[in-house]
Amino acid sequence: MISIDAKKQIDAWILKYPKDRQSSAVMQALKIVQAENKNRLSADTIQAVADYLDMPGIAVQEVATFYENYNHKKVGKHVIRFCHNISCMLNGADDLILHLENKLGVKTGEVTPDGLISAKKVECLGACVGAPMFQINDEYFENLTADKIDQIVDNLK
Amino acid sequence: MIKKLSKLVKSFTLSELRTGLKITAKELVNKKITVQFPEERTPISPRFRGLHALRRYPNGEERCIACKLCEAVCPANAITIESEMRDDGTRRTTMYDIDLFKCIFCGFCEEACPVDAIVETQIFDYAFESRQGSIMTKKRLLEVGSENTQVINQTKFEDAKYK
Amino acid sequence: MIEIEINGNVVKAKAGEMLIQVTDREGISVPRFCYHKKLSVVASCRMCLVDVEGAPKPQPACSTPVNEGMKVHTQNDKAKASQKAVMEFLLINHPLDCPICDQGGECELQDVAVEYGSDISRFSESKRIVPDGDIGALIQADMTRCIHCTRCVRFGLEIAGMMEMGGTGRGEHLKIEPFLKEGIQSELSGNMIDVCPVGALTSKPFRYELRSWQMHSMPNIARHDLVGSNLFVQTYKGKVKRVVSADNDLINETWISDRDRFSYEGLTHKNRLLEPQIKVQGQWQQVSWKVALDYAVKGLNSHVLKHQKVNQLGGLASSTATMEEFYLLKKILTEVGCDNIDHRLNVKNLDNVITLDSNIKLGALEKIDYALIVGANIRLEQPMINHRLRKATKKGADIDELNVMAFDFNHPLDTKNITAPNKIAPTLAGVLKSIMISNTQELPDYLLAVEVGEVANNIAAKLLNSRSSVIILGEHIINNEDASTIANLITQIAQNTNSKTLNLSITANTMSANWVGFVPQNSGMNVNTMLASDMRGFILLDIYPQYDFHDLETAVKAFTKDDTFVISLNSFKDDIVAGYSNVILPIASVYETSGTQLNINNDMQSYTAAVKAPDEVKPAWKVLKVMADLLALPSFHYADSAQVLAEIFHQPQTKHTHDENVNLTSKHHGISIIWQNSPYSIDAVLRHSNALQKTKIGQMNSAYMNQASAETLGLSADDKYLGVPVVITNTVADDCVFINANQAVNTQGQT
Repeated sequence: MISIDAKKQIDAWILKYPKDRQSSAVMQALKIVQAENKNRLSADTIQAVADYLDMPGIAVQEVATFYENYNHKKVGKHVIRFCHNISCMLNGADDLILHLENKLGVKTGEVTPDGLISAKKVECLGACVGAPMFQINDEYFENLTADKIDQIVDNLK
Repeated sequence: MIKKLSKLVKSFTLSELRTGLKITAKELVNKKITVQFPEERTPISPRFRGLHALRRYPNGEERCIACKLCEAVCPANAITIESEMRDDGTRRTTMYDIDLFKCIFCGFCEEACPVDAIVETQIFDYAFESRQGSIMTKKRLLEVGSENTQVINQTKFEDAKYK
Repeated sequence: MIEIEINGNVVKAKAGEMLIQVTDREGISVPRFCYHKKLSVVASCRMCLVDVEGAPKPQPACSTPVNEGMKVHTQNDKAKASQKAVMEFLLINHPLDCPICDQGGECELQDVAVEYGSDISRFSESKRIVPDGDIGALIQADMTRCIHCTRCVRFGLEIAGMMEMGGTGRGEHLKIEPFLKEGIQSELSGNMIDVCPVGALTSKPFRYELRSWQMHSMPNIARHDLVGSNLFVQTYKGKVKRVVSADNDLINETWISDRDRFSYEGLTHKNRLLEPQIKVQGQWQQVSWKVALDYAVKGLNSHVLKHQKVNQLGGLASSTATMEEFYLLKKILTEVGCDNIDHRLNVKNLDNVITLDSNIKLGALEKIDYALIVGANIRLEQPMINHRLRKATKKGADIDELNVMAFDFNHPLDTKNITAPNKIAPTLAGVLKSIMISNTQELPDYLLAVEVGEVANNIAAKLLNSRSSVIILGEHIINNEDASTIANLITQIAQNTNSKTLNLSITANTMSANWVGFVPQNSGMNVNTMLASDMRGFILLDIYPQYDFHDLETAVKAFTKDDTFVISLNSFKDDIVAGYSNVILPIASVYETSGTQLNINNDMQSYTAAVKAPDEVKPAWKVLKVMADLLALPSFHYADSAQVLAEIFHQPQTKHTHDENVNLTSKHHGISIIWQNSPYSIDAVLRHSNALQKTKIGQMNSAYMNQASAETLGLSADDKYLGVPVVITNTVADDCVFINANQAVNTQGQT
């Protein structure tokens, strides 16, 4: 379930924490395991991480469902995480999300037919100063407007 | 002295008799207020508390969800309910009995019902032919409900604005 | 002790304890949802906000420590306003389905809403809906009603020792659910129903049957293990409808095991025996009590008593009987002049029995710092005792096991010693030798040749270094070739290290049987001798041979002999019982009879019947009393079971003689079989309770062995061994098959 390479990476994270505190590495472990499983987590992979870190499965599930950077459904090559928390919402995020949905032709939570892009609504990403904003993979895009979104999305390959 | 005299005059002139006959004469030509029961009936308040009925939703589903609040509130302990989980997973009664010998027609059951299932209709002229007949079973209550759907809906609608 | 002021009254409190503990003790009501006296404090529901003078904002009483001179108002405007505000938030998403909710009438949210809720909701947006999964056969989930107090999550983590429920998602999407698709599997899971303050977790077998106010609650005692948990039996129209836990800090705190909570379902099983029956010329006839008892007594007279063959009469009882029943059966046999009584049906060799005293209280078990478990899967066999051990481990206690198989514990074990059954005694001898060498004592002869291995040295060192330790002996040892030796070694180890001992090799009400001396004395025969010799009569109390005897065939053969008259007292119909009995008398089961249970603490707990037994079924103590009357035995004048108990107190208590022999010469070879009825199959009521049988523990039915043993026996993973599916796993010791069976074949006599 978890490749040897991934285990090595997780072990490196475990070493950063005190002995018997290997569960502290759960977020990194999930990220590593997600990366090697088509960018998503299944119940089996979550259980595998739990077993590897000697945690109850449900405790790992709690972490995996709390944070928005773990995917539980099929995602596209690029994942757009659109913040719709209070600052972004007040700056018009809801309209822009509708605009993005129209642009992509699919709802948030779904994948475009070519498998290139998927978008999802997420909670605050800590960039309120540049609201409204979204994150594509590991990159932040701030002060969005409809035009800017079109431009960014068109450039995704 | 004068009192006695006036009484004497009144009795000799048949004054009281004439007063009485005056009313009779007046009513002789007035509109009648008695009715020929049971062919004719007097109007009844929509809030009248008569025979009980269990209602159904327009789609035919029985309303009662077996919460047993009517059973709990009944001051005469006239209601007995048994419940179970129906095959579709909903909560329903398997038995809903009202003993009309015990019932005091206070209407608390209707007040307590969260889904307006048990109601008291305007029916008051019913009779039983056996002791067993005093038990209104679930089947009979539902029958009363469906036979009088329109009247019940109408009276409940009329009374709703005062609740 | 410090003094604080609550609502203007000065009260005493311990420094550092939480405010809510003080108000609870003083009887001042503070509303709460997430706080539970036996669980950790999270202060997540905010319902217990109170006004503390000097604090700018209201403080949660459950997580505010008291300090000297603190002034608290629980009912002033500020406190009330915050409580009402919290209530309004909680009610935003709580559905208004109280009329169909099983918690209705006993719901903490309902109660608090009456006082703190508003008449009219100001929330006009749509409410949250949570789809429910199936979370097992015992608990019904309606998670739309959940208020996220996380009591069930904390219960799993802190008490049951397996975190099964968890809060997944975030914000409005947070929901409490189990991760595993199989649902909740803990043996204490039913307590989640009790701790849930709303109707999110309710009892599945009880679903939609009754409202809480319709039932009578009767205190009673659980009879399935050695703890005798206190509980309330809730009845309606003479039927047991639900069982909930009662508080008793000395015994079960506030928890009960699922076994105790759901066993009541068996009482209404269609297999209940409802009428007395007699077998006339091979045909069963349902008859009245009078006819049946006359027939029974006549049978006893003609087969046994008349021919002066009293010593060919035997009385056997299962360990589930009450103390009064043990006593009356013993008294009948003694008065007619025979001593053939026994309850140790499951022991292969009665010259080799365990005699070990339990000398530690349940409460003290929490305070030990070292425990050695020998031959027990304690979590499933004695859940409430295991709970105490788990608490000890949380305070830092080390626990070692000396088992034939690595079982799942819900607490950490220091070392898992997986040992073949014939190596347990030598290992313990090694422990004793190591201890005696450390204490510079002179070694007795039998220890001279003993090798002290690493395992033994480790255990010895831990026992010597601990302040308070306990050695626990479990059920898996009863048929060990060295059973008595193991018990004696444990006694000696305990004496030499000042350890306590806990004898969990017995079950149910065996403590009572031992108390009244329900074992053969003088010339009396034990069960195995009885079955092997020419007996002419038996009185069998609640016995189902396919589960209770170690050797079904011998037992059935002994009962079936032509001239043997068998009177069976049973609660459930059984084909095998019907096959050999001449009379079957229906007796009351749990909650239907009054009686007494003696638990491992030596707490004698009497209970009364919560419901009347159905139809013609009578309590066994009454049946035995009337039978004695019909046999014209004097001194059976009892009006109720309490009088029987009073008489038991006047009897001299039977003293057990300890056989101190240690025999390490037994050379057992070949594969030993340890047959355990699975935890939900140990008695007849449990076997008939549907919901329990559907759980994972109820479904346990495997013969575990390692690869080497499987090869020796010529078995593979698809085979069955003694009728039980084979599971090959390297967690089992060599030369050993460990069977956990929920089925009715029991032929553990073989090796």
